[in-house]
Amino acid sequence: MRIELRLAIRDRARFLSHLEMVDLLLAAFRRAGYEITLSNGMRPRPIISLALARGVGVASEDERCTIELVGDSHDLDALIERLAATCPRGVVPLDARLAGPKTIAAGATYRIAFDAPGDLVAQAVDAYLASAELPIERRSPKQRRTVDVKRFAPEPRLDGSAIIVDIAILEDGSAKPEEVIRALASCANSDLPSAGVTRLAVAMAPKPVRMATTETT
Amino acid sequence: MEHNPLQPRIERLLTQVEKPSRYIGGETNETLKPDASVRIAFAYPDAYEVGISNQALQILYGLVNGRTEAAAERVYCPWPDMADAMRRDEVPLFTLETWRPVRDCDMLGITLQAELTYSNVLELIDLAQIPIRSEDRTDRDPIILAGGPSASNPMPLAHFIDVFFMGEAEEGLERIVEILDAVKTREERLDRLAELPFLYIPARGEQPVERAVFADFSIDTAPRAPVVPYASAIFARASVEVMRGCTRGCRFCHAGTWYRPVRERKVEDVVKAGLEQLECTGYDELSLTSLATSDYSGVARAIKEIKAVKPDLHLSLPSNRVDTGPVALLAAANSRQRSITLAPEAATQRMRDIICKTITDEMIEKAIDSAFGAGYTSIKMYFMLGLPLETFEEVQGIVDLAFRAREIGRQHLGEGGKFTVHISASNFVPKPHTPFQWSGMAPPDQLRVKHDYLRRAIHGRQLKLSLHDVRTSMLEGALGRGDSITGDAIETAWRAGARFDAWSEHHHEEHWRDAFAAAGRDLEAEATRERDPLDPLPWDHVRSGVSKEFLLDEWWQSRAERPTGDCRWDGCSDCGACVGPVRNRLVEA
Repeated sequence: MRIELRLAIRDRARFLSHLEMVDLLLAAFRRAGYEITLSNGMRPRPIISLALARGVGVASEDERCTIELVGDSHDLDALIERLAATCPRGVVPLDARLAGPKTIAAGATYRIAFDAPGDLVAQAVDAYLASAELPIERRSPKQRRTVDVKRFAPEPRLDGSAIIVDIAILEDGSAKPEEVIRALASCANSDLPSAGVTRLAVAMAPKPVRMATTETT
Repeated sequence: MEHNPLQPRIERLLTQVEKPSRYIGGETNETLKPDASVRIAFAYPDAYEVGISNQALQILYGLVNGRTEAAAERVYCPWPDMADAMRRDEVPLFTLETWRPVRDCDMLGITLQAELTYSNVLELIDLAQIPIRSEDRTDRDPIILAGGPSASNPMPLAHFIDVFFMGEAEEGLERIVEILDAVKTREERLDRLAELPFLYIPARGEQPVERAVFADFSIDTAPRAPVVPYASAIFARASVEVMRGCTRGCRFCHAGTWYRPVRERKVEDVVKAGLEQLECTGYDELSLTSLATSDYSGVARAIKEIKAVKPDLHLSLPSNRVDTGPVALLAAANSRQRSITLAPEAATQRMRDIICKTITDEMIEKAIDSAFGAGYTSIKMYFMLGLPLETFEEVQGIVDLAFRAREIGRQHLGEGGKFTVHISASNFVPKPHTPFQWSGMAPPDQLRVKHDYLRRAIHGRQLKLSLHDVRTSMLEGALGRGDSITGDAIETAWRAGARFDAWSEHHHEEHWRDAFAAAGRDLEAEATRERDPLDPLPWDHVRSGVSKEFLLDEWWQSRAERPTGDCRWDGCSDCGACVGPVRNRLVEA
């Protein structure tokens, strides 16, 4: 039985990494008395996936997990109740439903709070909206590349002294909330320390069907 | 929940450091007791992923929270990036459960599992913003208590620790909690604690102190709900301690003396605790732990009963001996596992007689043969180099055994068979309270020559070799048998930047060499120095229960290349460990 579970990740639990979250959920399901289906092959693995990796430190009100449980008659309300008792502090199961056709994340909405005066944030948003492009350097241990943040997150909007921003996931990648913050800071010509990032919602889209191609010469 | 002014400051730090989950707490089975009148912070002086896997600390955490009115919380040594950030932002060391400062606790209890964590002990105390030396502490500071196997020679840390706990803490800890609850000033607390025979308080002088033995281990219930670590822990599995103590009498082994006599847990309790732990942790693996699990007389029955309930469970049996059928046991316990570890420790009969490892070449070969026959494809064998009276024959013996094991493997799996014989050789480090406590380590140059020889000889298809770092072994040797002057060197090294010495990327040999020199000592000379049995030892005031006469006799027996029998089967050897109700307790004699 394939189930799509929605969770909130709050408080200190937001500092858990993607891998830690997967392990934690597997253990929580087992503690709640559910057996997880294993994949086939030489090294069977529990079938579980999280729709969209979450940056360490980012809270979430819409964490989506798809998991396959052994058996096909699980009461989903009881599942939420049992999981609520077995998840660690800050990991809150919200609802569960039978998973439909496979989907992928197409984007996410974030709320970014700042430890900065509201008018400075407003100025930054105005300058951001007026910019044609906002190149930000992305560094990883292996490479450096430039990401145009504006392309993925075109319209941040004010929400008090915070902002709400939709970040799209396109075929060639996406931007990170932290990169939106850096882009805003560069627009404001000032430091804009973040006071917390929360993922509010994840937009899902049907998973494209890959057609097998045959080449003829 | 009450406002915690440290919270925003800690959260800011967590966005800047590697693996912030090391510091967040909130794991499954964590205990919160906000209204407790006594707060104890239990510390493991290494990173979270090492410390959370320590079974002893899990036992004590469960015991204080479950059986006393006190609250036990946890703390691990912050990784250097976090420690530097904490110092920069003046954030004091905090417990994982409540993010409250450790210095506000009534007691900081530090477990000493290895000498290479001593610099981290000072790091923890300093990060907690507590004065490093006991003599500088006041009523505002918690009592700092240290226990665990390395506390058996307390002298290297005697300047920094207020109270040392000798031996097994299950019963004594409850009495300590009562005292912390009853009296509140530092001096009163130390006065009352000094009345307990298993505590050593350096400020009160070198009074004799007795090792505590948990006589009721066999009838006590095993812990049911350990804290479940986040994914980064080195061991993430349920574990039940099936037996405490070992009387095999290996002459290099500290635990073999320090945890005598043997006390086995009832099979029914092992099975029940194991199954309950699996249920309340969500683990899919269970480990039956002890110093030598294949010696546990109920092991076959325990495996059978657990497998009857959970046939697909991954059941691990660490620390198996060559001579008690580990292959058959492991095969029964786990059909998925393909690697097996054997610990002959020495490759020649002469050396095994010297160290009292009562196994023969035939037993080793039979175990290897059975392992390959049972389908194992990786055999790891542990050896020690630099043992007392070692000659080149013993080093060559390791090479010969490696090739013999490969030959047996090829007989089963073919010339080009896909299997590994993994030889792991550590360097002998003499430990206090053992028959080899008077022996020196082999000089580092000699060890390096032996390492080079093994590297040249053990290579090729299906063979793998790993060797322990000589530099850290030397430091372990110099610290383990040290005295209070060694303590001065520890402080100097830590002030120079020593921390996380067990991690090769953080170990700086020069800090330690210079620190020993500043204390008027030579590090290598300390490690390699043979002690005269007539000279006093720094830990003479610590009574392990095993008499010094017995250890000395064993030392002489080693020189005569004569092993001593195991008192479980070969009669009492009069070591002194059994007193009153404290004696070997086997479940299936």
